[in-house]
Amino acid sequence: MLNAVWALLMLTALTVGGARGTIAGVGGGLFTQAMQAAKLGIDLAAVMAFWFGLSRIAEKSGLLTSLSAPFLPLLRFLFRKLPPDHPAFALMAMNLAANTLGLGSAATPFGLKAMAELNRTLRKPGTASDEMILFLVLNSAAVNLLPAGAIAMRAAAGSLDPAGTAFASTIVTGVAFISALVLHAVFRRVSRESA
Amino acid sequence: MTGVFGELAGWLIPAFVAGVLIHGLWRRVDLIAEFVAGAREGLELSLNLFPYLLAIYVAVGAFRLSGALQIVGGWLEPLVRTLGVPTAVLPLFLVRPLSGAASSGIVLSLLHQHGPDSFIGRLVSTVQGSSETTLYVLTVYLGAVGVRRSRYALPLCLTVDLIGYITAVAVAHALWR
Repeated sequence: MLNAVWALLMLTALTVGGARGTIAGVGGGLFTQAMQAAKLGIDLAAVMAFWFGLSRIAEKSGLLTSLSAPFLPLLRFLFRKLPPDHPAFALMAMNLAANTLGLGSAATPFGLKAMAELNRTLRKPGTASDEMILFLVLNSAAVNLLPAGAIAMRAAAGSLDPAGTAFASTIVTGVAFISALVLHAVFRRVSRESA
Repeated sequence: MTGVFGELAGWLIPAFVAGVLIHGLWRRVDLIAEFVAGAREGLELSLNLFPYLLAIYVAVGAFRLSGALQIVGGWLEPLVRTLGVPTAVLPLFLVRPLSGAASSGIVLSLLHQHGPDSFIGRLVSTVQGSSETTLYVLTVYLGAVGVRRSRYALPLCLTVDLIGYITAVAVAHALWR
């Protein structure tokens, strides 16, 4: 699926570029975009290394387990197929907790470690499990109580009420979270029947 | 209200870092050794996922630079206008799942153009604060563990995104129109 999307984006860009005379810009853009990805990649690596270092301290001290406790009952209910003491639970809980507080940079390392744990339980290596996909969709539709990025942008643009859309965002993410759960059940069933 | 939220966001990360370190000291964790070991894990993972990041970045950039994004926007415009969405917001909906940097750019320019406290300003802030860069999350999370067959992950996540955008428009109309 991602393979097809990538090919579609690339080939459409090159075809449209050829037809509309923007191909020179597209050609040069390939390399400037690659260089931008490198800058982003280095920044990301630095932030990830920092949070991974910190989260390892929290893991060894037992803090991770206690912080993730409030999310565990919900996650154990949603991921019924995993054994209740699976190491992915604490990591998924930390990922959701960080997302809820609008700490995207802290959420990613926990999410990636959770994926690595889920990956260990795969029966078909290289193919996403229902549990992985559920975690991904919950991650991208996570309930957000403090949209820090949006608040910062509004403040930068001179808003008189920078946090004024936080409540609306929370409602929207709440609706998205519930639809994610329902739709995951539907998509899972459809994919089973067609398989 | 404003000040409180701004301060809170600024204090959250430092407080968390301090909490982790103090708790670690209290439980007699070898702080620097564990930090370095964890950071090394983080670097290894970053190295694994960089090629995926590069692939997605180049493809999305080329799609935008070629003008293909504008063409798709042109097709969708009549549909979107009948749903009560200002035309200016359409590019954000198209770009949001693909590129975090590009969508932040669109949000900032719309906030400056229309004012952060206008209807459009509030609508785009709501969308920005309630959505993720879905394609990036999927590529990076699945790429990092070497999963190549994503099955129904992409259609599912994009459908949930679409529901989020529709909800954002409905909530914005209810609150600010």
